[in-house]
Amino acid sequence: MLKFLLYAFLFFVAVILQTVIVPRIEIQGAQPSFLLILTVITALRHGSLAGCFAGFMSGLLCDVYAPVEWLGAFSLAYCTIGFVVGQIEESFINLSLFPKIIVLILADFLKDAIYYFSIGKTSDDIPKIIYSLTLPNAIYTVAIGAIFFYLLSLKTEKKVEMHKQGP
Amino acid sequence: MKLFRHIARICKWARGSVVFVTLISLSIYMQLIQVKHKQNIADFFLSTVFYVPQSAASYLVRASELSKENMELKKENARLKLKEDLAREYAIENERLKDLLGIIEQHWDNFPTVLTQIIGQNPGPYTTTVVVSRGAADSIFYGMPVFTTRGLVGKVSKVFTHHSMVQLLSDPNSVISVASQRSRELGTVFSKDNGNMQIQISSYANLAQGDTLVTSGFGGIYPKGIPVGVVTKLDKNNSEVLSYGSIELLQPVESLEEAFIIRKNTDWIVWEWE
Repeated sequence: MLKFLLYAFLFFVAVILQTVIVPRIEIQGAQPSFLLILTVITALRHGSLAGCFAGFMSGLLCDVYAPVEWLGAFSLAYCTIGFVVGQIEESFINLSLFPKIIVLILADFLKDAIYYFSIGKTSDDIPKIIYSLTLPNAIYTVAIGAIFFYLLSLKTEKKVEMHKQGP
Repeated sequence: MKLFRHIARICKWARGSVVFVTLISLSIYMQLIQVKHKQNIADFFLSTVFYVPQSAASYLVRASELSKENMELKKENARLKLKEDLAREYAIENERLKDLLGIIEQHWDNFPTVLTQIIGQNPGPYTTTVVVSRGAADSIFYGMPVFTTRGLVGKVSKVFTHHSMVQLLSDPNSVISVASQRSRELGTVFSKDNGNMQIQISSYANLAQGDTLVTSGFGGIYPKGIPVGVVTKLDKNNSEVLSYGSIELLQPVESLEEAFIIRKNTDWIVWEWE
């Protein structure tokens, strides 16, 4: 229950960061996606079930602000990301920092590919959009995501050390 | 023991898969339902879960900037006061001349305006909607035009008690009628892929690169004469009836912080689902 409340709070923070702070910290039009980072972290730490649920909620958030005709497209993309990343976590339990960053990059590209496909972009348009929009956003997201991953790995290491030392 | 572990793993996998399939089905269902139902879902989340955190965060960010901004506004105010005196003289002269010519026009500066803050925007790759801090309690209604000192921003697309949503010009569903400030030729401005703004105009229209576009007053929503953008590129094709060009908005959607809402009700409107 405490964990659920913690993630609900983190989700709340991610919403604030994404909708209010991100427009103020964009660089040359590139914006980081805190919701994607949260989805990937949740999936990597708690598996596909938590991942796809967190992804769905994040996607729904993006959906309600996007043009109403496309409602559901972000949910589909984020939910898939959460599930797929969760599966990776379950298959390769101890992902170190570098593979996690790779997972985050791939997740960003996959999310946008699913999203643009869902809103009816053709296979000719998608590579162009991914090159012009997704790539700069992914670089920014990964730069911020790496900091979060590093901080989380420090926390995990500390826990392991405490566990080794015993009571 | 190993068997139990395998069974537990399969159960966990199956549970995850069931939830995944359910949520994916829900997402696809949301894409397939009618627009009015989609709007209801979006409205529910906007007016409950997301309004409070956005307002709170926006307030904190803005508070730190207010003092500095206040000083600048005072300077600006003094400068504008001087200009206003001059403008008033011109306005009186203009009215007198119009009376002489018998022209009756309804300009946008005749309507009362209300200042509002931008408290949120859609987090997707295209900025198509922003949330502003004025709502029905401030006598804001659907369709009221929104602008800044630079130019047109969009129109109010959804009104709640204390906040409203503004459909920006960069929304792919937004199409507005414009006129060239120089030649008065009419065209329509809309958003193409990646939020690039385009103008559609007759191939034989007298429009050139660098022309400023203003609202034409047609359509019943935007009053005549609000600056919209500048023509940056024109692909004239005389073999076709219509030509297209690129425009740069005078008010970029990325740098919106405050805006004005014109308290002007729509002259007429075609409702999509009523």
